[in-house]
Amino acid sequence: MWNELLFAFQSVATLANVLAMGAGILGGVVIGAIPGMTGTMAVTLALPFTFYMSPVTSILLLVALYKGSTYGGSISAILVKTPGTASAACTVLDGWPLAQQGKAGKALNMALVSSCIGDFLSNISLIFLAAPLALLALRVGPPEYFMLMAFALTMVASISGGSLLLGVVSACFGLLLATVGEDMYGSFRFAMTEDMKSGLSVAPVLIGLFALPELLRLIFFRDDGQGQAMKLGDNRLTLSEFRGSLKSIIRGSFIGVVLGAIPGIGPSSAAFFSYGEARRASPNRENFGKGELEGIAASESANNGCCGATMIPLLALGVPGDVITGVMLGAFMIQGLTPGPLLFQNNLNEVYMLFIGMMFSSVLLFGAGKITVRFFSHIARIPQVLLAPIVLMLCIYGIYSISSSMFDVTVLLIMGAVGFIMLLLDIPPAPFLIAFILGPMFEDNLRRALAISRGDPSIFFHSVISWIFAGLIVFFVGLTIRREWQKSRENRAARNA
Amino acid sequence: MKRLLKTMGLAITAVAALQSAPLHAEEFPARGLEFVAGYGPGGGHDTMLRAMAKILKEEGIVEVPINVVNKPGGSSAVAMGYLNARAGDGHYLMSITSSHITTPLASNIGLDHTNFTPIARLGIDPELLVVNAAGPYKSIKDLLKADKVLNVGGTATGSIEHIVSIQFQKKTGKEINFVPFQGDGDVVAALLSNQLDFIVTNPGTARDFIEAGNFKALAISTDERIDALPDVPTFKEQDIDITLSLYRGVTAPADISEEAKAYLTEKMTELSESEAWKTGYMEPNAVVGDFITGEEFEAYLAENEKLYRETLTELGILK
Repeated sequence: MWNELLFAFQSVATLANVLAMGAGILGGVVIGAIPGMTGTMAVTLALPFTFYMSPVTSILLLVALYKGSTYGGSISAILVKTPGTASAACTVLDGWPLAQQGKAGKALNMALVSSCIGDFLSNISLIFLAAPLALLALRVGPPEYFMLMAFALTMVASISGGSLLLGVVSACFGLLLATVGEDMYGSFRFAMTEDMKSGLSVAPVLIGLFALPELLRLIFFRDDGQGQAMKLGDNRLTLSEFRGSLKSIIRGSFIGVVLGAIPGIGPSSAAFFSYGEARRASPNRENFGKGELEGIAASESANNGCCGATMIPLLALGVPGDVITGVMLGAFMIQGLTPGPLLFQNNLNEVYMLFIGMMFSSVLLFGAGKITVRFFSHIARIPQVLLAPIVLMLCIYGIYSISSSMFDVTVLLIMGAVGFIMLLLDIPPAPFLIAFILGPMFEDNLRRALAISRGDPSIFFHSVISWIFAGLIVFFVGLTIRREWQKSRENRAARNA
Repeated sequence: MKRLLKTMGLAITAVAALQSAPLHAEEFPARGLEFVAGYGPGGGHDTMLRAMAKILKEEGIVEVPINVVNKPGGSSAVAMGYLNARAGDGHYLMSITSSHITTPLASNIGLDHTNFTPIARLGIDPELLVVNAAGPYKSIKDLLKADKVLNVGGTATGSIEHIVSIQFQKKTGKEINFVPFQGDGDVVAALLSNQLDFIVTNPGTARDFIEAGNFKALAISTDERIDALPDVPTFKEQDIDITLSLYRGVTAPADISEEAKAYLTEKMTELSESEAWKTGYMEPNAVVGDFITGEEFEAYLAENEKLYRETLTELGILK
């Protein structure tokens, strides 16, 4: 194995490969940072250009775009409260408060460092743990997916902010919205127009919920100081801050790798998962959601930790987990490489070159991040009143450009209005989003598992993985109930005193 | 004054451009082509169109840019609506398979194959009955002897996989339970993880897993065995009368100009004759070449619709 790796190292270190990766990372970061332009779009746009490159170069370019955009999403999440990609939605929770406190630079640096560490650990596990992780992916069938999704939904408790009840309400609306479109048996739900038949895409819902309400708030409530820029001030990430978050970074990377290896879960769920876990374990629990660096570390290490690991089911089984890896599968096929059980036999050399190339790209990500952080952090100096219309325009234009669809723009604007009402009522948008993203998988796998067992619910308790998640659900829900109870008792005591 | 002249010059140029516009419109193609896949990236439609786009460009058959877009949803209903909204414009080409017939039959979308301009059938794509090689079933006989209702996986309700599965139940009397999945990859993963007893899928999806020893194909839905999988017996050989194959073809929007139709037909003919297409797409995906165009293809589609309508009505899927 070491000989092959060494050989691959030599053959991958060509100017073309490094240029492709550098351009991919930098382009990915910029596209990811622009609200409404997502990694999927970057990869789809670049695909036709890769036809004329060698197989390894073309895949490296696409992977670099994927990684770059996954990190880039955090930049706008922190600076303008607009997650550039769905996977950065979780970064908003702490990134935006930090930016308001004048610590945007600090937050950006934390996001970059955790992204790079997550990315690097993900690549290492791709090389050394591809086989066991592919086996794990095979153990996850419809019943296990369902239990995993159910557990992920308990994370709503961690991201609800002040009120658990409002968080649960928000998540329920998210689940409801996820049912729009075609179900697994081919019947249409809430399909009032032709466009609604294929359901609502994540991007317009995401931007509508997170970015537009903030812009509307600026218009309706002209609070003091909005003419001024945020203070940049405290920019550097200190060693002790890094050390304090290291545990969350490592845990986040690990969560990213494991969830990335299971097709279909994706980086946004991994980020929320990791955030919930970090909050549960951290001594700074109370500060989460109010500007806690550890929250950024948790979410960013997990979403980039997914990037390398999603390649495992793609390469070893030929099963793409999301739209981006789906496009990559197409790119492999067009290059004459067929992902699946024979790839490691027939094209081992290309596979190793790909792995080594991806290790390089973690380093390039750090460089590209440093350059763009310096550039983008100036955005924080633009007064909000000037920035808001620019962001609004970018959002609408970006959403339209994804699939040239006015329907998406309509969804964006309606969700913006819904998000604004939620903001006024203090309903947190994060549970809505995560429930909306997980909803279809939650429902399909519930129904599919019951179809396989012909209606017998005991199928959910047949395997060890199911039991583990069932245990975690009970533990987590119990913990949340206890904490809520304590909180209400303390409140009552405080009132009586 | 100078500025005024300049403005006037611009205005004249603009008027001239407007006048010459209809002249340009007759030249085809006036801009890049768009290939529409009715399913998500990485699926059969998507990979065919992307391979097609690549070979058309590389072999110099088509000079203008080609863009592949995915319009997934509703078993190609969304893509059909998308193409229909572009009637009269020959710059669009949509990949079609049997869902082009079955979706209009199964759901009331107000469109069918006659609302489009069929260009060419590129080949046919048989269905395989596939089991996990490590599982208890080594032959069709083993499946029939199993003391349980068999769980069968395939894509979407009313798909050709579904029809083949139901026909299997009908012809053998063995009860099955069809579980629809999101895409080919999910079906494969479910069989690998032993969630299902067998799956119905194309050779392109299953062949690598068969070659690697993960899967075993027990039957194929063609009249005779195919060259790519000579060891797999047909259903007919095993006294189960199922012959039903998917076709792979392309169609354009309705009411396109004669020039556009002639152009697209010529390019597809050139494509199907090129060596790059045979080695780059047909062979790797185990598609059996059977090229027909225009009216012949239209007649084939009409015949196909009749067959599906009868089968689906008989199976109770259509009322």
